[in-house]
Amino acid sequence: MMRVRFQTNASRVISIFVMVSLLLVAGPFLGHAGAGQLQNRSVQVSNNTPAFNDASYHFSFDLFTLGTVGSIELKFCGNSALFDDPCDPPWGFDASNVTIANESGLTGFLIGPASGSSDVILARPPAVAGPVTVSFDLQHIINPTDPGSYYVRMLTYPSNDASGSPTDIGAAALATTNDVTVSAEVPPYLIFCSAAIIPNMDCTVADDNYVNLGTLGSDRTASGTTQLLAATNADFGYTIRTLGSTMTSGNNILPAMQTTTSQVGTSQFGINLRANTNPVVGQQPAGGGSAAPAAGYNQVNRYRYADGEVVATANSVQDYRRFTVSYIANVNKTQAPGVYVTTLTYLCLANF
Amino acid sequence: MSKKVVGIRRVAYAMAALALTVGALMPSMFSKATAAQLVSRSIQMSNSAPSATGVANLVTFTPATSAQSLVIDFCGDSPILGATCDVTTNATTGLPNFDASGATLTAGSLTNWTLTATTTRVKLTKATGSATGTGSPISFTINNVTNINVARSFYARITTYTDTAYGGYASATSLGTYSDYGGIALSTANTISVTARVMETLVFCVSGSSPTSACGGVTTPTVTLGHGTPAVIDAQNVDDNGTVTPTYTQLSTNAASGATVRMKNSNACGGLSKDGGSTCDIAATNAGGTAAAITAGSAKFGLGVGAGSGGTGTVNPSTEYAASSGYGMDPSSSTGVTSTYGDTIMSSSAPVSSVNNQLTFAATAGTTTPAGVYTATMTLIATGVF
Repeated sequence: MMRVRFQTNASRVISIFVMVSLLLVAGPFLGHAGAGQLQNRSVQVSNNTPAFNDASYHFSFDLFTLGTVGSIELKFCGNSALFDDPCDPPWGFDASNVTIANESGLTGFLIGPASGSSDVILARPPAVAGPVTVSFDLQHIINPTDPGSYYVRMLTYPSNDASGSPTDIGAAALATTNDVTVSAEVPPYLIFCSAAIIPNMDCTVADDNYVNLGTLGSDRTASGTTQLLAATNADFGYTIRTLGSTMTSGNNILPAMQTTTSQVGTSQFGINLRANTNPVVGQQPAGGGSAAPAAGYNQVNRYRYADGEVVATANSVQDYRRFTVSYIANVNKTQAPGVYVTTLTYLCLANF
Repeated sequence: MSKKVVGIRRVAYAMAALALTVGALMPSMFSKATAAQLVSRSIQMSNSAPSATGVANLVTFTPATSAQSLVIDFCGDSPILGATCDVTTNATTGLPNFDASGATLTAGSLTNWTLTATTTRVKLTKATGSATGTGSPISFTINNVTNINVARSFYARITTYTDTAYGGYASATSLGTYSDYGGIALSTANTISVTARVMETLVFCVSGSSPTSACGGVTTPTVTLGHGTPAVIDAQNVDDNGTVTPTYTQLSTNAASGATVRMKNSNACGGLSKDGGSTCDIAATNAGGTAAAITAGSAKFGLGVGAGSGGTGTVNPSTEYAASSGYGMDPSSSTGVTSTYGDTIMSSSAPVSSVNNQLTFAATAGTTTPAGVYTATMTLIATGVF
């Protein structure tokens, strides 16, 4: 009787030992044996910069097995894609605040309450699904801290809490890498020139700097032109001023006009930057950009002159633009004889 | 004394008589005094795993006598002719699970011979074929046999006959009049399971120098476009980083359907910006499907991807970014470099290993491009389709 009892106990011990051994050996495979493999698996990442803190992950895969799907588990691992290996979460990776969007193929998922920082469980009321292509976005994920590869293991379950044996499984590898910063500097520039004539919008061929109005008389208006050419990449454009006095001959002067019309027989001197008909002199501003004559110098057949005044402005970057400055002079019959001259300096300031 | 001699003689005669008797009886025990042992005999099993089914057994031997039929008995306990042949299910002496009843013949040297089989026995006769030759090896295959279900030795006994009726064979212990004979030992053995695991891999890096294998020698890439010192861009030139600050990618993956590399621009406007992406005074050069040259002064920014080099496999630039045609940069927010997942700039259709592609960024200013330092942070993302 004693011998029988011993044999019975020994058998139990052996049986338990064998069962434990089998469990230890089969442990890594438990729940995965017989699972189908998810096909065409891919995971697109919106930003793979290490530690990027608001990345979206677009998952796509084809279900292999026709059956009930109640949950999908997405387990992020830093060490291995293999299901029978332990899963070490990628350092710094955090999906705690993940949300789901753009579901396709299978819908109705919510983030399951058992989800963790690196183990996302998508749950829905279990329902039968065919071998469809499933896709969805997981948003608000913090990427792993270090550049390199990491992995996501994907499992589907009939249950709605990722319990039990998975139906289909599959893994994908991802990689974070450093960004490329591209930089280029555009240096500031201001191109400006004045001359009697500036052909082809090209300062290098500007020619002459002298205007001869001829012999002034009370019965006619004397006129002449010069040109200005300006371009800049200054954000706030430029201003062109004129510096110098009205025409003088010793103590005798021709009074500067105040945006008035030409009056034959009246001593006066003025300029504008338009194409005029009285007298016929000047041209309209030409070329690219939006620079324009200042208000006092921008009226056809009206002329003006004041030392230091702005004659043209632009409030943004400007391509090459050419202004034609028209000069007129009238004298009355009592205007003192002499050689009337003035030296005008045009000053262009860019506003960067 | 004489009695003693007579006694000795009697013993000697008795011994001689016994020897003659035994000598005369032995041939009758083995049915043929002139039987020869088959030489160079063997049976190759296609599968030695216990319980394996559909096993093919290639039988080879060299007959001494021309035969018109033969019998192969499978026994669990002994190869010795005439000895007991255990064909029971006894795990140590029998033939547990062994089954040759469905055997078929691949004739080999025995053209037009026919086969009949039972669970533990196979019989072949020449039927419309020819008798075996002598002195040269013959071979044939007995297919569709199920092995014993334990890992150990078992045996085959072969007897050949000069007639087509198996020489009166009745059983493994009543062999009839055979011509040649031989025993062969076979053995089943546990199979060796070899498991190798290959996990999904994706190794991708961006480097300021050409990476060596497996993303070795990687440096942080910083691309500065321009000419002169300090480097600037203007409206008269198209500047690129081809030789000044080269940039490379390297891709390795075992994804069955290959991988794509997509690029995103940190600037929402898709080009180079000096205000954090609100505006791009140096805009993306959208080649409209095919990469194209950038014209100096056009204030454009683009990327050209060189053909893959080194490693194993092919990584091809997308048409829109192929450096062989020029530069591309699609600013579209739905599919371009400002979209959520970026624009595909290169791809492979199969697994690749350590393939490098050079990235050449290029830009030019316009005459009205505001002065400033323009930047863009380009994120390159590799995605495998496993």
